[in-house]
Amino acid sequence: MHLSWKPLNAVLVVAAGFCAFALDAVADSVPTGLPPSPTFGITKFSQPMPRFDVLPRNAVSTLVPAPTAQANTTQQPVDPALGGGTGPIEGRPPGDIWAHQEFTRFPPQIAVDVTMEGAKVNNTYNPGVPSSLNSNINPALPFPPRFHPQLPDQGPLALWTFNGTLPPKLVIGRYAQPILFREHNKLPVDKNQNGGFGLHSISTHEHNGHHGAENDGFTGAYFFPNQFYDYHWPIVLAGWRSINTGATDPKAATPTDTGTGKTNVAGDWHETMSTHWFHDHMFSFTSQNVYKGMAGMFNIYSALDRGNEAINDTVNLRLPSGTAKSFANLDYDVNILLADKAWDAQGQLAFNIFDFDGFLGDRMTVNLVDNPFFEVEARRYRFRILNAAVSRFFKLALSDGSPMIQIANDGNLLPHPVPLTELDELGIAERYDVVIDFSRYAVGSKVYWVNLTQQTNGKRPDKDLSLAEALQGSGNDPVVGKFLEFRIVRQPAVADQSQVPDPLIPNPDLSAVPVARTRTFEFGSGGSQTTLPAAPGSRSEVTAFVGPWGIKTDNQGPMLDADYGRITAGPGYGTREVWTLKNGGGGWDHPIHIHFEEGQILDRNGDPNAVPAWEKGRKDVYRLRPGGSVTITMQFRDFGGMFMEHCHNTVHEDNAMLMRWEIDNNGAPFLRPLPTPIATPQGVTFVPPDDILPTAF
Amino acid sequence: MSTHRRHSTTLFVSLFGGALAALFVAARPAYAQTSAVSSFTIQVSGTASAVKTGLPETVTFSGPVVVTATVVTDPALGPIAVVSVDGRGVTGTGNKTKTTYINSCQANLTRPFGPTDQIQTTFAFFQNTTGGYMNSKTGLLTLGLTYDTTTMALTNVTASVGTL
Repeated sequence: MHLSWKPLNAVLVVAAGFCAFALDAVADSVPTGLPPSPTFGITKFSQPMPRFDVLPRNAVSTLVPAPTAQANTTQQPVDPALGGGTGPIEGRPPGDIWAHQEFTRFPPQIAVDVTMEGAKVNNTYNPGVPSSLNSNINPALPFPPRFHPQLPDQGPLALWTFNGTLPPKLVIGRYAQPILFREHNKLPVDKNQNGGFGLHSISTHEHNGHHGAENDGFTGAYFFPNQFYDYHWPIVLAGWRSINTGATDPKAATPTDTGTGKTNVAGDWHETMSTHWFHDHMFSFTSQNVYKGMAGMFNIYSALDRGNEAINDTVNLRLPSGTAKSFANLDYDVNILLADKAWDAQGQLAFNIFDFDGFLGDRMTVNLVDNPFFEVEARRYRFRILNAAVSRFFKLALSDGSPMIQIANDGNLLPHPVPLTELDELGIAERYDVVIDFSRYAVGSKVYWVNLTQQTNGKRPDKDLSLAEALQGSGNDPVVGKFLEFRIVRQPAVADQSQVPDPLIPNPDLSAVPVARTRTFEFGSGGSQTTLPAAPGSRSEVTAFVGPWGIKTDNQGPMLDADYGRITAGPGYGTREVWTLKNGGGGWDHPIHIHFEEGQILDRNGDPNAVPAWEKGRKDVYRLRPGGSVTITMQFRDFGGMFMEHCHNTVHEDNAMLMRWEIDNNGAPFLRPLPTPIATPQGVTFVPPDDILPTAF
Repeated sequence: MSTHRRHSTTLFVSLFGGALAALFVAARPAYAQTSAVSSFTIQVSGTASAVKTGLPETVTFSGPVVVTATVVTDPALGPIAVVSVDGRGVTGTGNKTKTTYINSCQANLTRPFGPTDQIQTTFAFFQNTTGGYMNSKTGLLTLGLTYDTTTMALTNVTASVGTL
């Protein structure tokens, strides 16, 4: 039996489960649309901020069954709640098209084996640093799934996270050491057992990995409870097929296990990446699932960005990190996950699924705890800041107005460091890496991160406040103001050897690569769906969604709602294109994410001089701003398959501001067009695309 | 002291027609949108006192600041302004040592739209030397914007530089 996992039906099911709570929400409080989150008497800065929980890096031989290039279709019984019968143990679409590309060339060397499951106590917390560098949190003690010690534990239906636990998870990777990320779906088989929101079928996007589409977390390649999915992250430099193929460039290199050595790798070192994250991408449920906890971070290390501040080999940039290990020292390199949350009268995570403008929480969390403090030494630190909110923008400053140095934007180090006293508004899914020098402060003093952006609905920010205004707080937005207290607790035990050099990583020079195509994508409201009702042979009742948002392509036809069976663009393999992303929605804001390939911003609103210094590097999320446009250039190399482009205000994405594009090679080695996977617990089938836009190929 | 000079004002109006979606209860029409872009370049001056910056001397600033306002109206949302500030042309000089200071003053600020707007934003400034950014200090830029609420264009900008 095949179940029809029509997303709209699922929404209605979830909505029905949410109904009682929704009736309580008539207060329609700003900004959540729900009753205000009760405080349970907690005060700000009364608990430590935990460092991320570093996931074990195991031998691939520990994986049972062993990973395979094509999906493992060994049959198993399927729970009656999922339709019964039998189905494959792996949810990845079967066959050659969805086989891991270059699996033989880049065989996995590290296994990261995780579950997605309901909240439980963490008894294996590994912060990767001693307690003295983790605000004296004792990792040997059980780490409960709660946002504050005075709040109740989150129940297993309220919070769904990697391994079911807090803190959020961190994957450590490095170039030329491919990772096999195996994820087991341990969520309830009954989709109504979701605490009022979220869906139990999942697809994990490694944002913004340079690998085949089968590992990209395609929105339609989701898998079900009791299945697993093997994601193969080869961790290669873009251009490895054509640039520095002999691996002779010393800057294209990866650290050795021990000592100060490095090993050259193929590819373009200008494409080196650093700060990634991974999160759910379930079609029409990304906002709910990510909000529910399905997000982690992924630090990628290289000879340039090594995570060792002492090795002086003329390649290593020596950014703040530590010295004990050859690479990936986390001592002074801190992952930060920002997310606004809300909870109900019982203290359980709450979400308003009826607001299609976007959802805002009224409590600020850092690394999924409420308004914490963090102890630091009087030295330089690197912070990798991720906006993991659903619809909220953040603008960060230090409470005394002191400068920070921005060194990276999204996954990529900038060409030049940028000293800033106020960071730009950080859009959803964007990442800013900054260096803060705490040596300017006396031991015993405190300084705070302050959010300057007031936002009272999911549509867009209302106002960027001055620092003085933000420090007074906002009556309309509880998330304005101080949210993280830095406590300068001691002088560094070892001298700070870190640097912030200039340059960092210059952009790849694309000037000699001809522009094969230009395309225009307009993001706005008033979307319509052309593939429903489903035509004979189509499965658009599964792949298409109807919502208020849409994307208009190349100034032709209507603003279209998402259908992952529709091919909107098909850039040729190996080519370079120029894409213009336009805000067609007036005063709204949309942070647009393009999967797989990083782009360079050529202009904003048609003006090359309007691109600020912190956007001069490579990016994967592009804020449009009200009435704005962004023109970018990208190359399409190394791997193929179907990818996505969408608004990362994930409520907009889910309702239905998302489109599929795929890398085409005129039929070889990839098909043209690719068949669309239709996922069920009993197995994945394929159907032809519902629609191919006239300008796609 | 501050002076201002109107440099350029451009205005364009764009209309996006209204394709309607009626398939979904929450379907939202594509609203008519109007946007106006206007820009001023003004000369600013001011000082950053040694007491507040921790530098051994007062720094005197002067130079141009480019202020660009993009005002967008939307019947569903009301008007809003994105104010872009570029003050990187402003330089500072140490009163004692005559050291030259440069800055990285760029900002894109979301602001409510009205007849006037008062903005305070901070910026980093530092010695114009190799690695000077590692010892940046904080300056304060204060802007006064006046709009024509009919055309949504800037009609006047005042600015000054100081410290927090």
